[in-house]
Amino acid sequence: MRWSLRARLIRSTTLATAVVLLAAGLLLYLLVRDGLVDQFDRALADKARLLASALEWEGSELDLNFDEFDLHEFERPDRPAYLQIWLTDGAVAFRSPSLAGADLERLAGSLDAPPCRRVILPDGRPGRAIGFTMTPKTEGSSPPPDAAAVTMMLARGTASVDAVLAQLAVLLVAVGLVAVALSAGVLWLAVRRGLRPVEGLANRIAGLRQQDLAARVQAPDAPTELLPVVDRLNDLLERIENAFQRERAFSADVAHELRTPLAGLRTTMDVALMQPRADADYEEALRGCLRITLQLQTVVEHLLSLARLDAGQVEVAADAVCLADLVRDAWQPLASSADARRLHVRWALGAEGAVVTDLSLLGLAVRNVLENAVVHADEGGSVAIETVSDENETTVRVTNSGSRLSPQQADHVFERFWRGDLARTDVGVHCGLGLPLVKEVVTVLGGAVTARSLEGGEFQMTLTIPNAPPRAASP
Amino acid sequence: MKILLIEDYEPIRTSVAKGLREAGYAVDAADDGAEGLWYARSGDYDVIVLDLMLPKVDGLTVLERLRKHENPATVLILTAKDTVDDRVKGLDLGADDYLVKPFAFEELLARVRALVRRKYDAHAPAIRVADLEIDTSTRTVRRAGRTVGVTAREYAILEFLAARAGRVVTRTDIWEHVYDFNAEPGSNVIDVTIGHLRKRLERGGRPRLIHTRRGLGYVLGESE
Repeated sequence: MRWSLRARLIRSTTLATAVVLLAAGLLLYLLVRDGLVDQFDRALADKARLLASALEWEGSELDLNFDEFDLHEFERPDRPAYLQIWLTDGAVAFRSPSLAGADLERLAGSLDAPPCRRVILPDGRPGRAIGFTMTPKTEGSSPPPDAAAVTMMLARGTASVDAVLAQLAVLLVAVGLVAVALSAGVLWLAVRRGLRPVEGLANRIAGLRQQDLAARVQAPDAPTELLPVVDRLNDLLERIENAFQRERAFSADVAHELRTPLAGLRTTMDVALMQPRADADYEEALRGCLRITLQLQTVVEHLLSLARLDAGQVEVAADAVCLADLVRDAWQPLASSADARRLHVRWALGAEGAVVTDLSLLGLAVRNVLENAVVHADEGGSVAIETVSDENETTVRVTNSGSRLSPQQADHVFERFWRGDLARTDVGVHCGLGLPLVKEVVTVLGGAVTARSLEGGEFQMTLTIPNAPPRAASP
Repeated sequence: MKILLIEDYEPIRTSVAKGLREAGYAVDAADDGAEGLWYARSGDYDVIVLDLMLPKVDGLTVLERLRKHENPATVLILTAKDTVDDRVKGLDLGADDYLVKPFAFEELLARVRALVRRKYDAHAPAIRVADLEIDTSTRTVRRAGRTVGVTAREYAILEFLAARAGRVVTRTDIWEHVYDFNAEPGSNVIDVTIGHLRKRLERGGRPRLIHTRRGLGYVLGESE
């Protein structure tokens, strides 16, 4: 069950109010009841003491001397009080007419602090009784009998007190109910008022258009409790917007990268087919198309590899790889173009030990780094290829001359489709995906790759991978 | 008609230049923005076909500079950028047309023809001078209802003269509009071609339409 904030607030606060009111009412009721009962008991005790003071021993005879008192309450037929006096031997010395021969339950206590208790009166009404044992005074000089103590019990109906208490209870319950209802109403208003900024915020968020990622939630009237929410939300929107922009730019680049060679293919074929031509012309057009198709293939393969790496769909094998051999193998297909560009190649392959890593992924990375150096070195310049290893990691360092990149630009080489210039002359051959691919591959292998622009127009790529996989390869 | 092609992607540049030349245009091709600007400033082009993503100086900047210097050439943007924003930006900067790669070469030709017409304020694809009729869309020439066969170069000169019918056109004008940078400069290349054109147009005893203004150039029109 989903509760609204408002319902939850009202429910819990109303419940708390009700509990507090109930406790207060109960306390008040008990205090009043105790007070009333105390008063009742005191009146009862006063009457009992008064009656007791009239008792007198005349020799062995107990003289009641009740004539001077109003004993009406013990005699009336309707809601009477009860009085009974016992002698020590248990004989009844006095029994009020209201008792009509029945007995009260005997209580024993002293006259100073006579015990009072709740009883059911002989006629079935609830009442309170007081009882004590005392020794009446002695008339004249004759000594009292040996067992001079008498026990007196006095009982009265508590109907009057009970009626007051019942009224009080009704009043308390009524007041309590009204108070709870009132507080719930006031709370409802207060909560509605208090939650208005939340509703406003919700409406503003709902009003954000899906397309407009630049929009932010403006909540100048938001209470301080909501400011973190607004801030976080705006942070999130900004991150989403940035991600979207990157994605959009990437899509645009992909579109360009695919459209341009496609346009080249189409135009080459279109123009070739415009009029009848010599075989040599067709052959030239076909060769052109083949070249473009190979470029297109490179772009598509790089894009696919990147997409798989991004999606974490690449399985990393654990092969024992000799890095020096791997670098030499990767160089093989580039040797002819390095010769054609009259590049001076310096070798320093120091890592002859085996590295446990993924052979084909590392090969892809090294190949791209080497190709980048061969393509970007100036004609007649140099390429230095160096491998070193220590007990933990192995490093491949490739340096080429003829770089025109500034140190700041060197940071961008791992961005997809980034090029030193807007140049798209070399679409496909180095489409701006090679080094980003290297970075992704090396990351998957648990290593790192950096690019630096050195003094004198040298560009250096350093690729470091751990000698063993970072985590034990899962079986 | 002379076209400048500024495109950095070699296969497209080569094919488009070849196709345009075969269609009878004089074509100069540049492979970056800076070179393109240099060509545009030193030659008198009717249409500039401009890629946007160019090295050195990007296409939009090239366009901006051309318009700032009131270069009279019409500009056709040829690019892989296809968003509405890109098109609007290009057209607002003064481009006359926009074609997204990949494109059909036929469409490029049609758009170039339309831009040439626009440049010479001719809205119909046909140019009429006396009983001479030139259909620029099919590149055919008719005189008094009969088709006249012409070579691509002859057609180019005839169309250039027809676009300026009644006005004197100098040899330099013709040289600059009909021949590209690669053409062999020869003192009488134009005179020879004009001679061939006259022969073809006057077949069947039709009166002369291309008149020589000694020391000035040529005028296309009815005899004065």
